[in-house]
Amino acid sequence: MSFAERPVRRLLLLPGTRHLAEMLLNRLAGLLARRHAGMLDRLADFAGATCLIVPRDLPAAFLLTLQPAAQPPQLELVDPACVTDARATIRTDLATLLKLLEGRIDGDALFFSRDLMVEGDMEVVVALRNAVDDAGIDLIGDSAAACGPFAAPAEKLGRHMAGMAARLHRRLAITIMGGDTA
Amino acid sequence: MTAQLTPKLTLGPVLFHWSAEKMQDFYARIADEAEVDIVYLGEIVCSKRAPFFDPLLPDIIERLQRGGKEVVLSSRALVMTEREARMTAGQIAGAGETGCTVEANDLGAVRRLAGRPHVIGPYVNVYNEGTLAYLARQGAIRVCLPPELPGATINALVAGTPVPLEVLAFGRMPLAISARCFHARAEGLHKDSCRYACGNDPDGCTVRTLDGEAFLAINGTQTLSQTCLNLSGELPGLAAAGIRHFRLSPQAIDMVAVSRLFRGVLDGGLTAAQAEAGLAALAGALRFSNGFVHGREGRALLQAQDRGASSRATA
Amino acid sequence: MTGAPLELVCPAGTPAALRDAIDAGADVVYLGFRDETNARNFPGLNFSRPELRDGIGYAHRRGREVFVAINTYAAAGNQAAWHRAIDDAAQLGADAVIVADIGLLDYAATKHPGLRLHLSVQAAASHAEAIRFYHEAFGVRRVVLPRVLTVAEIAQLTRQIPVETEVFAFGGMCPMAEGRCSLSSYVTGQSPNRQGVCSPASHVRYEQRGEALVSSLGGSTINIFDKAEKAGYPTLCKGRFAVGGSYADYLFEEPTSLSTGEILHDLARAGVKALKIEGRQRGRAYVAEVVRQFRSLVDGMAGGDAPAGAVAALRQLAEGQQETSGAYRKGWR
Repeated sequence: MSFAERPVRRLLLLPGTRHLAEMLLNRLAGLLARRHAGMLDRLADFAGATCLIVPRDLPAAFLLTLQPAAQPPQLELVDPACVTDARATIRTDLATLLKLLEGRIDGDALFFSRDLMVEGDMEVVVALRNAVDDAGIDLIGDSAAACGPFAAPAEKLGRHMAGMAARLHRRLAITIMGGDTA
Repeated sequence: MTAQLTPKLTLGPVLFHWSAEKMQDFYARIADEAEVDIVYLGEIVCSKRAPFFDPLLPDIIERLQRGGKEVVLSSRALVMTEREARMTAGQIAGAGETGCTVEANDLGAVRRLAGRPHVIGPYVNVYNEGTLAYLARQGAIRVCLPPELPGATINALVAGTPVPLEVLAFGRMPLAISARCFHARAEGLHKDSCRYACGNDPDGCTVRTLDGEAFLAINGTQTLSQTCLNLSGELPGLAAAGIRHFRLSPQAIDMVAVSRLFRGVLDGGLTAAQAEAGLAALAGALRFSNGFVHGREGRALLQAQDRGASSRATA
Repeated sequence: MTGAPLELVCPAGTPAALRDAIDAGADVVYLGFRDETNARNFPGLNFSRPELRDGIGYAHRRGREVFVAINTYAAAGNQAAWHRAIDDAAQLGADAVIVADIGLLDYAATKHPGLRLHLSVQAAASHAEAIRFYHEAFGVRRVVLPRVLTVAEIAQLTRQIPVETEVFAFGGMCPMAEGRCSLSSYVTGQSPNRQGVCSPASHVRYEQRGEALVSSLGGSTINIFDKAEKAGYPTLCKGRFAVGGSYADYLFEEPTSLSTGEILHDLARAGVKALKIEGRQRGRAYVAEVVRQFRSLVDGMAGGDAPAGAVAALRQLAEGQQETSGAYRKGWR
């Protein structure tokens, strides 16, 4: 595990890379917020709330800070061990997080089976879940839509790359951890 | 505005499955000694217990009336079967002969009592002016409010009420009722073969969390508060707001002494602090709470200074 | 089987869930406004007025219906908020409103005589005479039966009452008579009847204690789960408690899901008109899957054969993957 983590963690520690990654993440958050305005509306009561989202199979975590009045939430890349004051924490693996984000999986069932762990202020977690669940986010479709006239080819390319990435992720996981994370 | 009337004290129905002997002794003392004006009678929790209590009723009613108490018959809180519905119908039909009014604790009883004077019990959901007005039009002469109402709601209701309102002031609070018997369940039994396990706990049976905290109390199919409601400190404020009746719910402690302490507060002969000390001495293992009326969780106990602040806020 | 097929009344906590439920075969979607006028007043959940208008449009274009649950008890001094909910539901074209409060029923019947009224389970009308009261007084056309009755009792009841019956078919179940429970209020100050919440998320905490997971509500321990055990939300009637010296287990109810997949024929024979699926607070992936399975079960009834797999699929969807037929079978009591 530590062998697998080391190169990624070092990569994140390069200030330029980290900055770029956060910029991209916040771009994405802004894009999703614009395309799914109702989502921010559902989170309006929680301005200032922080939620630490920990993909268990990644060395870094996302610290989400909800913003007042229809502004997209802010995302920071953090070392999960260094954040102790988040109002709520969600832990699961990256693939599950993405499915949750797209409303393709039942979060309650994941919680019952303990494939998803939550700590801290449940109100924030419940509000996030409900807001995201309604938004009908489609990461690739939403991102592609930002490409204007090239949306259709961009979406096609995106889905192709997502498939490749999933296969690569699986193969890497098998190689490194000796198990299948899928 | 007419002259301020002294509020009345009432005694709610015994919620527990006491033996016939304990019931008779209890009501004999209430008839002779308790400082209550009205006594509610009836097995409101479980129809399986009724055959033990109902045969005692004529004598108890007569005894209470002889002692100068007004008697009201309380109907069952949860009616599920036709047999239970017939029992309530029979109770209502027979009430007239004994000179008793009936307290409706479910909407079936409300329908049957429509058009003649009756009381609405705390098991009927009265949360607002619209409901209160409707029930008064149907013939309700008094409404006992559900225990979870905050002071602000009580004040809003009492301000324009067409009928006198009653508030539960003492005793473990009724919180829930079920088709399922939890006393039986805790013994590994079903309701049909319950062996009257509830009879072993004359004050209800404490339910603890897995960390050992005393949390709730069970009484057969009913769930009660673990804490014992005690509004002795709130009586003057509620009376000033216009509440005309305060209900004491029987516990297996000296309820005559409890009634005297509450009467003392209402008459002005006792301070709230004196009454509180007296009640604490009587209550044994029961802990007090008063959270609901202060708009808080029901199990909370607000101290005198906090109470002052919250009653000002809700006045 | 004769008669009309059972109507499927399905939950939606969000517009996305409404569309998914309808696409999965719901005959009716029920929902609430985003405030304390409905009994699933959870953070981030429920419908704004424009969302309701769009949702009703989506349903009506496909020949389906929308019921609006206004099923908490109006607060004294602030009845207007509940009256507005009734007015808006009527004006936006809701096919029925689901109400429990006598004051609100009286208001709706007087102000909107054309509005179809259903009696919410929160009224806990559990026998013929209580149901007749609501029918005669306010013209209630359907009653959602409390989850305390056996199938035999339901059969007897449907023959005696002049209104349709709707029963809970799947999802979370209350062991207590609904609308008559102050447990949450006693522990947290927030009540189903007043605020539309039970065991609110704001009072929930999860804490790791060694290998075990401890769930608490308002600071009181509701359950302790072993490492290998399925976890549950600390709804306070579904916790483990100790009584006397020997009992320490699920005292009121196990964290199970009510399921009627195997007794639909019995319910239909008992004269039930509609099946209600609980779960406005659940995600749309769950809602869509439950609706899809029930659609196939109900369609299968008309054809005479039960679709293989639907009952098993529902078991997978049950909370903690345990299910119960609840009070529908007498042994539950």
